[in-house]
Amino acid sequence: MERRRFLADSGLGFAGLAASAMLADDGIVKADSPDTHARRHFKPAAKSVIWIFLSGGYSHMETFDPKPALTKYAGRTYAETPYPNPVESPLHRKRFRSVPAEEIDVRDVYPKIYPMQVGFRKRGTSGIEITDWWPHLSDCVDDISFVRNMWTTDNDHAAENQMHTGRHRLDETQPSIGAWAHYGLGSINENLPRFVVLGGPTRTDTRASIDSYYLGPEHAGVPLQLDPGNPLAFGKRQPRQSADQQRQEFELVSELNRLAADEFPHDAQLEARIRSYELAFRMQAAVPEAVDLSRETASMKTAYGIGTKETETAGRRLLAARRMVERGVRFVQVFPSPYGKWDSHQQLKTNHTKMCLSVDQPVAALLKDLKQRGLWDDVSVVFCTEFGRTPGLEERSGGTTGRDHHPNGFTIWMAGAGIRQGFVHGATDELGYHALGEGHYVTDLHATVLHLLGLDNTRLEIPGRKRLDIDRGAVIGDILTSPPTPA
Amino acid sequence: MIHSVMIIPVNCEVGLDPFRLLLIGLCVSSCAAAANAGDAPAIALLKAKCFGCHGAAKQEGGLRLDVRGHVLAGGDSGPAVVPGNADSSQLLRRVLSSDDDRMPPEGTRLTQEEVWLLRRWIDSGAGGLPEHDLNTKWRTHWSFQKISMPVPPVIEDSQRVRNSVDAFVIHELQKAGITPSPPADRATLIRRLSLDVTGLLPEPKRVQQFVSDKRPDAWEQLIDEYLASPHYGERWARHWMDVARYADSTGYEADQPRTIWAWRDWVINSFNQGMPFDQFVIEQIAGDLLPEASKEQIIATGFHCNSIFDGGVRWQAVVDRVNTTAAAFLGLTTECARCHTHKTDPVSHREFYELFAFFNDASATSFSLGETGYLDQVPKPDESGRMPPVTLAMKATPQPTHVFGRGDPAQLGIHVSPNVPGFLPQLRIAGDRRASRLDLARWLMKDDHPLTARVTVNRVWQRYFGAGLVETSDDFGMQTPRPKHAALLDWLAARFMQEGWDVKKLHKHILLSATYRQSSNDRRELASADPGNRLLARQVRIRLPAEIIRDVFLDAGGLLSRKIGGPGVYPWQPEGILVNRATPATWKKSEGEDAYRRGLYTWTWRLTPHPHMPLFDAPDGITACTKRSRSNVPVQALTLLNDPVFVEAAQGLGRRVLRGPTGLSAVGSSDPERLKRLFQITLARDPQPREEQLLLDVLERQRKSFHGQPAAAREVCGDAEADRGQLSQLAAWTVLARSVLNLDEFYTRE
Repeated sequence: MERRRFLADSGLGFAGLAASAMLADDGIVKADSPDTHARRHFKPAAKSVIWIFLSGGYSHMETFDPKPALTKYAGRTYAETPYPNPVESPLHRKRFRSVPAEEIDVRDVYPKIYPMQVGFRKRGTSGIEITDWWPHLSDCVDDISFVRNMWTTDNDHAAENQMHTGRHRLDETQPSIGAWAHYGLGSINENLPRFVVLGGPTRTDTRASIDSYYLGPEHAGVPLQLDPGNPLAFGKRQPRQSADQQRQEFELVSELNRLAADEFPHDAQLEARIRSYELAFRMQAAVPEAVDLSRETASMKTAYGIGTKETETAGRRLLAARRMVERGVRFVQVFPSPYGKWDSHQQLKTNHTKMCLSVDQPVAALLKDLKQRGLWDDVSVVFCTEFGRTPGLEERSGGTTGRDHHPNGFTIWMAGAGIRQGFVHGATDELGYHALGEGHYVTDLHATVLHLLGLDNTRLEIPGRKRLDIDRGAVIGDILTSPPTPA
Repeated sequence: MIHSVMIIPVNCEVGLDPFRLLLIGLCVSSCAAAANAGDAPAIALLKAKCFGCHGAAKQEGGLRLDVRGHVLAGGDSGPAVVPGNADSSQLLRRVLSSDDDRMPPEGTRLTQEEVWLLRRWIDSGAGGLPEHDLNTKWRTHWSFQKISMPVPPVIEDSQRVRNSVDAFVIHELQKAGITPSPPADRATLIRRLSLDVTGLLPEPKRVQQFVSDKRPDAWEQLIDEYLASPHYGERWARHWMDVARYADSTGYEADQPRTIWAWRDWVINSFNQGMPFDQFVIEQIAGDLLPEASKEQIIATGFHCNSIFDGGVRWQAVVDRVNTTAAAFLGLTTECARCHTHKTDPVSHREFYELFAFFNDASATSFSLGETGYLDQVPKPDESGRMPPVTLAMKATPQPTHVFGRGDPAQLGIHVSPNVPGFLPQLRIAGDRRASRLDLARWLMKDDHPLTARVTVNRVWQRYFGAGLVETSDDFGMQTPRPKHAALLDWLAARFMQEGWDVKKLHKHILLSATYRQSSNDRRELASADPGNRLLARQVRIRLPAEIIRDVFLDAGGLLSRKIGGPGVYPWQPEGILVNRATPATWKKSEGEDAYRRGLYTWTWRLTPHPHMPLFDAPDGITACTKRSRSNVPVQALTLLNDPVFVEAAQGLGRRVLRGPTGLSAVGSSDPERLKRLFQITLARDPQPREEQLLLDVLERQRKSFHGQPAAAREVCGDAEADRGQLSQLAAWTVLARSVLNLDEFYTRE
């Protein structure tokens, strides 16, 4: 409570606003609190976000940024093409910060060009080119905005955290994008957590990707399991205790706490505790229903690829994500694939054939489902990874079939509420090496997502916590249906 | 001394070759501070042409050119100047550039003479600029001033003044026209004291004694008793472990196990034995360097072996040692200075690496608790899987230190030697000797050091009032204004030093005060007059920390082991905590009393801690934590109601209430008497009439309902052996125990 009071008193821009939002949620400010939108910086385009993260780094060239030049110059080095040698560009070092041991200061550069491992063609009326590994998503390109000039700086898998927190592994951690969204927004549904994680965190050392750090644990993502019998990892009812017994216990604790509240009539902490027990009880009832996919029709499950081995996991998680946003969860972070699954140093073709298959149909089904249910204007979908892959062949240990990590350029896409349809923003160079122009560091994506939710990332401040310009990023206005107007 | 200009050709290609930079660095360092004749005209030129955009008022591109530290650190495009090498210096390149990036961006170009002036200035070491920004107010910043002993104010209405602490507090309250709160009742006081000092519940018998103790010094007697408890050392060791970022594994991806509990036990013993704080600090920072260092003194240096550690990235552990030292003793956040001169505090980029050099001269090394001393290798478990008795300790391994350009170890800058920041008292070393960790440690504890004592007493205060006199207990820097109770802070700090850094005496000054003894009831009028309770017109209610919540549950249930020290233990935890790790880890559930040890002994895998820890805001052990947050989330409620260890505690409490032994004078067997016992054990008070009515009513209904359901009753009370006749009774009391243990009041110290 100390911190909250401190925030509330500071009266500093958003901190004050967000604090009042929290206090309202804690039942401290009650009757006359403003409606949810009034707390925002501007009118939101989206009520919820589904953030889909593919761990391991998909090849941008072999997914959404195909490069015919790779096939044309396959086997030659960068220097042997008519294009400027990307390794000599100052961008190479600028957007590249190595992490491993001090004696390995840079990752090896693989200059021999590796050809495209899959065909591609123009799709939809927009004619956007994506590869043939996405037969289902090909039907959706007219709904999507692709951002082809993303870059990051970590060349190792801590980039997974960087994608979510905006900071390189060697820098001080920051709250994750979901935590900021949670911090900034009120709840639509008081019976469910506002920030839900499905299929993650992918590993213990990637917990930062859902963590809230200095915002406090109440803003961290709540991982749910898709088992209606045991959706919450902790606090499961004792095996043979009935729901009714548990309800009585909750009621008794509440009643006793209320008696104590008479003694401490102004104690906000006690009041918040009472509310917390009440919310816990409601969550215990609401969460199993929310993750219960048996309530979906058979055809819906089939559409998401549930029942087919390859697409089962992603299908279940994405369908559950839709159920979550339907119930007002603000930020659903979905990991359709386990940690590092897209990491294809070798056998890229085998890997990506399989991995694309595992998410293509479920993701396309999600987009179609959102449209069909009228959620398209309420929910923004993000599809991303931690970095791209090298245009060059990874020759480590005699490798001949894969690509290395590549922070200098990669592609993400967005669709749904507030997002332009059938649009490509930005590009990498002919070889797929560098994000052209200023490009977009990962926090630009954060700023865009927060903007869609009605929050201005430049105004999210916590007194005593240093946020840098790079943490705030800039909205990728080009992909929005109504770009922000300069203040 | 050699001058760089003499031996390095000015037009040599340096680029990013770290070896060359290192050479230059070595040479320049000796002459960097010396002013040259050419400096003044060059600086006048910079002032005329550059400071407008790159000076105190404005820093285009993040660059400042009027302070040496900032010049070397550079801005967004990297260091502006490589001292001794104009041709590698961006400053020169930019003033010569004809591209878009030329400087100045507008107006006339610099003349050839002007360029020559700059070239000569850089080549001769870029001297003449102040190391720090002289225009800032750090010279007069309150916490950087020497600590003097303020005279406690004289208070007219002296009734409320128990000691000097109160005089300071009431003086400020009177100025604001606020009256302090009345003292809390005695039962609340003993529970508060017991939880604050030992982290355990007061014995019901002791509560009764104290409540009826008429002696004038009853309170002081009680304080002495609790401070003498061996559990005092445990409670306060855990606070120190937060600062020391303690864990039983290395962190990072690998998160390997690490044997360092001997250090934790050293801390517990030191608190219990009343070790003076200066000795406590000196031994932890440099015990190994003390003359004829004892085994215990070497174990103490485990403090800085707690850093997270990634094999191969040694420098990160060294950075962490600097940051931890700064947060723990100096109350400064030095992290920014790793990459560039601190923007708000007077710590330059270079000074960061001078601090770094102290710790770069040492390495965490395995140390045998037997006879062999330091070991060359990390020991392996023997054939039976037992680890030989070892701990981690610091060992001197001197080596050169360089500034890392922009914090990047690949960009080695000038060579630096161990030293302390220039704005603090000087480190005086006799002769030419290289300063050591021991010098640093002794310097921290010098009488004229403005920070160590202030920072320390503030942190102790924070544990007793939920917030420090300075709220940002890890930051006493320029961003932190003088606190309302600055005089009290100084008095405590001065007194602490005067009394030989006696920690228990410091505790007593605080605990004996009327300020500490105030009621924690919130007062409506204070919400506007002093919303943050900065003036201390009342005590505060503090939700107990993660470890202590479990401790008091087990304590109430009669299950808690009081064993002190030893290797970490593995109490029950939910399934699935250790999956998804990069490297496997085990959790072989402890048997017997080890399953019920105090929370500070629970083994901590940094990446996969026991889930109750992060849930109730225990720190992650990644960096020093001087202050925990106190969150309130629904999953906490579910956990306390349902997780097996808390259920088990409730079952134990149910048995205890029903069967005794109680130690209470009125051992009764009626329902109201048992209820009274339940409340005495958990809340140190009797139930209020409305509580009694509600609970006796629930009890009656539960007993009836369990009467016909022996299986359900057995399940609830968890006692397979329970006598058939007593089953419904036991189950019903367990239900009551569960509800009382889940009260906010139970896991809050009021």
